[in-house]
Amino acid sequence: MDGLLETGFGAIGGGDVLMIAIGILLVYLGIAKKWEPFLLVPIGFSIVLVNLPLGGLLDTTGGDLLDKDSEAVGMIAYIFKGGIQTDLIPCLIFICLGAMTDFEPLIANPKTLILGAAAQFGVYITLIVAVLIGSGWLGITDWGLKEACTIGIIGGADGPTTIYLSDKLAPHLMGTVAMAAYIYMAMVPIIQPPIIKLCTTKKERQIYMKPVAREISRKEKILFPFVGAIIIILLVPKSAPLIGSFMFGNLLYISGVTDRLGKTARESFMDILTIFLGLSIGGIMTADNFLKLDSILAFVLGIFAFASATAFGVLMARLMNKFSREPINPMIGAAGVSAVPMSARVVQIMGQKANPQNFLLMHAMGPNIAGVIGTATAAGIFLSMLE
Amino acid sequence: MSEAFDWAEVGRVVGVGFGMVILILSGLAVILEIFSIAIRKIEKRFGLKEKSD
Repeated sequence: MDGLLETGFGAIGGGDVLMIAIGILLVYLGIAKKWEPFLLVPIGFSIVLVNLPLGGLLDTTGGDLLDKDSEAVGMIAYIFKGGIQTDLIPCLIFICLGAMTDFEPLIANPKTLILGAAAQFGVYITLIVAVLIGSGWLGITDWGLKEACTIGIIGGADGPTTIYLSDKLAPHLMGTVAMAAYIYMAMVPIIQPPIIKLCTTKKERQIYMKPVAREISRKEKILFPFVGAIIIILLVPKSAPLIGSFMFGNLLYISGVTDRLGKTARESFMDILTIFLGLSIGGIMTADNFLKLDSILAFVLGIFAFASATAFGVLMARLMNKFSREPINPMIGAAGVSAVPMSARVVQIMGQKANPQNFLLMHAMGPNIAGVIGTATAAGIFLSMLE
Repeated sequence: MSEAFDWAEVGRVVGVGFGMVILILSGLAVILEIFSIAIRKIEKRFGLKEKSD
């Protein structure tokens, strides 16, 4: 019996068991419900692994895993320190995302960039709520401005940006906000429709939008990554790692002479990075890191961030519809949260239900891509102001 | 309310931050619009329109 106590069975605690159950739940949601399976399966299994005591997957020398001065010993600690704490994985994922993105709907209808910007207000309103819950008023947690920005950025619905920002501003919240971002992204078809309905009338949801007519030349498509990168990085230099990677990836996709590189970025490279990302984010979700009041509150606030970003996008689209010559279906504003392409698909499905003549997918892809650019820009601005 | 908390800093991050996001993306929209008009005019003027496949 004494021998058994010296194994993991003797060392396992209630918190570990709860985290293992959470890990299994995530794997279940990934497999059975097909919620973001490429992420939830690796994250969930990694949570199970690191919460089994004595495995040593997160072992470091000279301090805690989240402490940047400590050195990795365990397998997942190596991936985390080399890939996440160096910001390498989020930026490389942005190259892959760029290689997956077609900017055509955005270039054809540039005003949809404003919808991507408006949705970012959800990030800022959540920031204020987080400050009020934390050190600003209620004092339930010790959150300051940096933690509040990290929680707010969940509203941008962009996993890599959320991880990138949290590593810089509030690494102790990284596991929570990353998991919140990915889980809520998977829940877009559940979260967004009621908010869209709440913010629009039936008549507005039926507004017909003509197909995007303008054909975009290859020259315009090649110019866009340059114009976008130069303008945004000159104005917000701290956004360079994310915006630069995104635009570079897009150039690989669109240049017409780097098809093989674009294909690798879109497919195998993205898959490799997703495995590393899943293992390292799940890896930091130990009972000590996650089962705390502030982590649970941050997780709950994430859904508020997501919902408010959706609402502000829709309300901005309503406003634009009032002043636009061509009618704008306000639902496309909901795609201003990134969550590419799920939120655009939600808009398409709701648009078809409201008016079977309507094909809103391409109209919604504009704000959807603008949301990615907007969130990365917002993160760069946070870093410029607070780092 | 915590006396030590710097609400002015929160105001700056929210006000200036969101203002910059709006300005940058709106500015990019305007530039894209200008670029697309310019490219179409150049293509028309010099006959550079790409042949469709």
